[in-house]
Amino acid sequence: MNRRHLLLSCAGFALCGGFAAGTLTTSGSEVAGVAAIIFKRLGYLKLHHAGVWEFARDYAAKSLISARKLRAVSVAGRFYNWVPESWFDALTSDIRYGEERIVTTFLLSSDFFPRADEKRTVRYRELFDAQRHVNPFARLRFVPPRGSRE
Amino acid sequence: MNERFDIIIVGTGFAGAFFLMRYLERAPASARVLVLERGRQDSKVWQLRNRLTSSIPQEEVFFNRTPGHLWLTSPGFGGNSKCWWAGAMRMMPNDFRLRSQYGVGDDWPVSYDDLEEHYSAAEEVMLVSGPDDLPMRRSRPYPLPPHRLSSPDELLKARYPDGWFHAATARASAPTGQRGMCTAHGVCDLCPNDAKFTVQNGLAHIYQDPRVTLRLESTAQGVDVSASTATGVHYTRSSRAERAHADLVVLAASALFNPHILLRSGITHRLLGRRLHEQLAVDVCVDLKDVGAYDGSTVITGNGYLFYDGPHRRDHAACMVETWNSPFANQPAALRAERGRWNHRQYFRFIFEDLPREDNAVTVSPLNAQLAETTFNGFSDYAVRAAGRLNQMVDELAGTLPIERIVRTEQVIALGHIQGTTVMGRDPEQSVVDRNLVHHRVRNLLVLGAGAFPTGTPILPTLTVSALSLWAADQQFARGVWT
Repeated sequence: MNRRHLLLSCAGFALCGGFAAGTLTTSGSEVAGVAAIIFKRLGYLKLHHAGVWEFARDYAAKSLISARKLRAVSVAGRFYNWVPESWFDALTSDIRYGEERIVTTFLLSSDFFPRADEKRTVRYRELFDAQRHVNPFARLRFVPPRGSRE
Repeated sequence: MNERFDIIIVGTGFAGAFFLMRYLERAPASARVLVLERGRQDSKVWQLRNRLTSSIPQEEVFFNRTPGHLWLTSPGFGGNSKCWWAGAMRMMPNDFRLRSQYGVGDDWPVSYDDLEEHYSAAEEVMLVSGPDDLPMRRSRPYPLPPHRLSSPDELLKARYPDGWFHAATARASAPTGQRGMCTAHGVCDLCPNDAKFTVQNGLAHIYQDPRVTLRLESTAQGVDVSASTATGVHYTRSSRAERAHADLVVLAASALFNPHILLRSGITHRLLGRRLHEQLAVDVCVDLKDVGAYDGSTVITGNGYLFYDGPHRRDHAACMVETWNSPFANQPAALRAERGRWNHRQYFRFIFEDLPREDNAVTVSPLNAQLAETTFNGFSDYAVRAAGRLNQMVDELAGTLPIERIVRTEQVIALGHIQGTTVMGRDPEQSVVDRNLVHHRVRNLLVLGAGAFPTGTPILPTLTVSALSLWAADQQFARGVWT
């Protein structure tokens, strides 16, 4: 890495750090954070925007992950695409993973599955609840009743 | 109140329920059994409504001094059958002879062949689903056919026909008449279909038997002993002290609470409460190239035995691999947020056996004697050495599965497989109970459950706990105790 890159990187990190610290110490909008993650990670899908915001409100209200963690993911997630993965592999993979947990909940809460048609507009239905909804990929096997084996 | 019974059983989980079931099958009509259960009868509806398996918080029953590792338990009628995830596999024959076969750990005082018939009987009661091709000898087929494998499982099964198998499970693969069929919700502690076996849905009827008196919210405080003979149990019921007498006392209150009761009874032993352990488990999430996962028919579909038994056990622990089949819920799983690759991801759990350490223990809390207290200082070097080979194991799987990258590796902080603490063995100096689960010193006192396990194999303990309870009851009949 040459000197110019190093200086630019330091300046970038200072800026990011300042912004992140400011955001993390304020109450911030978890709802906006969740929505931003959905729009960013699923930018290639047609999303029903109002539905995404409704999901974000429901998700934040349920406290499915801590507000602090959510703000951290929402802040840091904006920058990780700019950071070489080799530098902060562990950190960025944690962020990506946190985002994927949110994206997973959104997709399972929407009408996207089981068809997974990427050309259709994805609409939020209700917050996913594993007690009431099944794994959409599962191939259930309706076997004969007890007593007869296949 | 001083009452007299033939038997007093403390606890209504797997260990106590299977023992009671076998006893009632052969006991006379005049038999009298008292069952003490510290918790309430939290119905399935109550559990689902409250999203809890017990109305008693764990903090009210034990104190964990080392919370880096958690011990899961679910007080109340049915015990841990309420919260288990219904893995119901048998141990391997060499698990029972680790010392003689590989020179490490201890041999169990019972063998696979001793327990085989009892494994089959427990599987019948639980209506376990499983395959016909597992390597250990079976006298009967599984009651229900196996669940459907996921696509990664199918690849692994094709590559390792003798090393990869359908998971044996008490999550019903077909409607049973008592239980619904598993539909892969992935929240087995609170199964919405009641598809997994529990004491509540499978053995509640034995507690309705006229020979049985079930007392809920009754906490055993100690076993009464006179001249090395158990004479009964003293307990509290709605804050009132009570006492009951019996010819035989059976502790089946789990590996956390059996030693707590014994310690408070003054029935001490050098190893009582020590060797607390469960398996070391590591979750590994990998991205797959063009292979979709999560498409099996239950939450855990496959079991890999390719790193399990063999000469390596002289040096490092056996490992069993579970294929998890859910992109959500109580596990570090997630969909892959990439176009068209939503389920091109697999989550494995690598479960390593552990050799118990004597510095991991259950004791009586010095702050509140009503509470058991757990101390866990870590896993054995034997288990840690095996876990250190995790990358080699993933590489081996990558020879078959198109693994693009490891997404996440995370050690599991609680399995709910609490073992050790009242270890079984032939030598009274080196064990608390004998091969029939009878206390070495107090010969009319049985101590059931996974506390008896001398070593912590990779196999989930519940089926073995249940089989051992059937075995223990049969041995009492065989010895003529109940003729």
